[in-house]
Amino acid sequence: MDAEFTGATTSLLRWIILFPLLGAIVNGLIVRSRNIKIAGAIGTLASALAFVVSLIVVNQYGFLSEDLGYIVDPWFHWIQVGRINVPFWLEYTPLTGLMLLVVTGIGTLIHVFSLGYMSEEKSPYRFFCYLNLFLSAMLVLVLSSNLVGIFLGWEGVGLCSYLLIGFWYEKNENTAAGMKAFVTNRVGDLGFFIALFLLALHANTFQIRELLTYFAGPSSQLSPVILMCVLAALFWASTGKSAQLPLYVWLPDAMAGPTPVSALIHAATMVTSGIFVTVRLWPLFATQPEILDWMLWVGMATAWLAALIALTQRDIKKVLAYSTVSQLGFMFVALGVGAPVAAFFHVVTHAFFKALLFLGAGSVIHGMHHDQDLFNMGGLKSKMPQTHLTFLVGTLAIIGFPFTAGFFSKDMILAKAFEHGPLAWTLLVLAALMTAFYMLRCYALAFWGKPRSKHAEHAHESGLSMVIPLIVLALGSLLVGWMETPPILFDIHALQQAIEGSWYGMSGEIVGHSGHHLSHATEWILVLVTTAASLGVAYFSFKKFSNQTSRDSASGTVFEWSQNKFYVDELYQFLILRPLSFVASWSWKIVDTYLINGFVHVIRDGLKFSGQLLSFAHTGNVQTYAWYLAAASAASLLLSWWVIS
Amino acid sequence: MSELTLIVGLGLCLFSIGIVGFVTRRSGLIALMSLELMLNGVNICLVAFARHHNSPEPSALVMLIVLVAAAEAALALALFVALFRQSGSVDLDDYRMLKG
Repeated sequence: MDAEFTGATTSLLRWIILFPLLGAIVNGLIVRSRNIKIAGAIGTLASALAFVVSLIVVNQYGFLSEDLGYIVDPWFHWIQVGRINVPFWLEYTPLTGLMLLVVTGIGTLIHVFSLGYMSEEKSPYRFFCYLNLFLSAMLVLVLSSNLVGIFLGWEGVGLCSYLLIGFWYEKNENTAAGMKAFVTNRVGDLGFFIALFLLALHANTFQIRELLTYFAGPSSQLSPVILMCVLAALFWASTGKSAQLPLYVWLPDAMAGPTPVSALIHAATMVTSGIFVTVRLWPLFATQPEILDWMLWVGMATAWLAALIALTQRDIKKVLAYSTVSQLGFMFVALGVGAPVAAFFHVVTHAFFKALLFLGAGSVIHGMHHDQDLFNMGGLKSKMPQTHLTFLVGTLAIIGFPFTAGFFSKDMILAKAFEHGPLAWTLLVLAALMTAFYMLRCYALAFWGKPRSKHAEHAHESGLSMVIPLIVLALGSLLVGWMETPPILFDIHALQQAIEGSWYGMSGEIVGHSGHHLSHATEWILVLVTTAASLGVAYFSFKKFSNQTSRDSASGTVFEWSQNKFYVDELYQFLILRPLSFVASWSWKIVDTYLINGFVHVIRDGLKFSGQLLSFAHTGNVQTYAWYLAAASAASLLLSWWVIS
Repeated sequence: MSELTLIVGLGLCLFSIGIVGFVTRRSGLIALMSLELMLNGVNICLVAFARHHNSPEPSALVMLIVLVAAAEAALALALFVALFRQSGSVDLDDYRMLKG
């Protein structure tokens, strides 16, 4: 342990990981109950215990103290090779604490929701086992004090995501979607690997605290090129896990999994881990403005593309999935313009309202007997009143209705984008307007108008275990925005303080950034313009779709492109999969059949032929052998006599 | 011609007769007898060497060979009895199961 150690050690943190892990073991290996009540109770209890411990920890250390020191749970020694020492330590920072509450809190709500949603499931223990396993992996990712531990969690959540996407494995397309998610994430994980190897070679440490304090300051011993490569590789990894261009394609397909999974993993927690890691390492990123530029434009392109696709999707979960990709793009734009606080703020608010929207969609799908087509819904407002109301809250939060959670976080991102430049701001506002359009379209199609199918006519409100999480999340979506407000409204900066307190005193200011702030007048104008535009578009969209009667939608070239997801999957099929499978079949048919088989066959035939030749000598008659023996002895005698003389 | 050469020549003759007998005769019993002949040819040579060098070691080897030969004869005869019971023949030509 280094000399400058200040702070405290605790052994509480490990229990946050252990409870869900124990839950997974008990559910998956020991009890294996097919009764949803038993399996669900174990899973929910494990998750709730993790939440309680998180609350205790957060209550003990808080978010806002100026100098928290280094609060660490030195669990065990993990890897020690040569000069590299990787302990399995867990660490509390205010940022970690926030993420803990989000993950365990929303996780617990989603466990409760699953009690109702998965009630007809044949093997609920498997579901809750995976869900708990996911939670513990995610908590490893959040809590680990070093990048190798984060990588462990990173892979763990990837595995659980794969398992849960393909949860209904009887259907081929579900397992295919799981595989797609796994393989695409693997492409991203390569980036994480490269970052780890570079750090092992050049930095000799993976501890985040040491990385930040040694290499983020002006007296960094790490060459800027190496640091840039490390951070670029980490960004690459983030595009995989956090579904950015060009690796976002797995997320929409991941909707094949059960809806609570989509809410927990593919909206609220796992997909934000790329942003979480970036914010955790922010002082390092702040030294590399080029990478931030990349983040900005990759995020912008993703936000746009996904929003455009979301405009026309018919499947309610697909709309939400593309919306998630788009919102993740917003978060990367925020990182790109140098506003990690705004990005993480959006992570938190998005976790609430997107989990709410997904669970609401789950409730709708449950009521609709697993029909997910928006154009088969309609008129659910009166049939599912609580779901309708909470879904409305989620919708308003995501489009940035004043004083909801999304309003504050999105406004903060837009303000930071405006500080960065008018182009980024304009594009981002347009993307936000698209958000308003597709979300109101989704809401209006599902809940307003007249039922457009039998399922919609006979839809029913979901049970209490599904409604309560919706209500709690709706309250969250209304309230969590108040932890960080713009200077013109109350000027609360709790989140900023918490995040800046997580960088061990390192500065988060971008190198060479002229930090000019917006005047109050400009901020007022921005807020009013964007809010008014958003609400206008939302109203237009609502008007357009709330009386939709036909089950068809519009047509046109752009529409077709959007509905077909801009043929990105087909493009990847053409650019990557087809060449790959061509090379594979070529190497099978030519290299394997002729080259490798040929080589093996030559050896085989040679051995066989020589064996046949030699077998003529084996007559089976013992007297022949005696002849050979006598002749050979005589020959060797003669030979030695000849050699001696 | 010295005494040693004569006696070694006798041993060589016995050995050669043994080889030719072993290789040419079909009967397993005769082949066995030829084998004994070869062993005794070697024994005679060893005894001659022992006397010539006035050393006991070759004699010890001779005793060992006699012992092993006796054991071998007992074993081989038992094998032939078993073979005869099974197939009614002790001709070596009749046993070619190991032909390659």
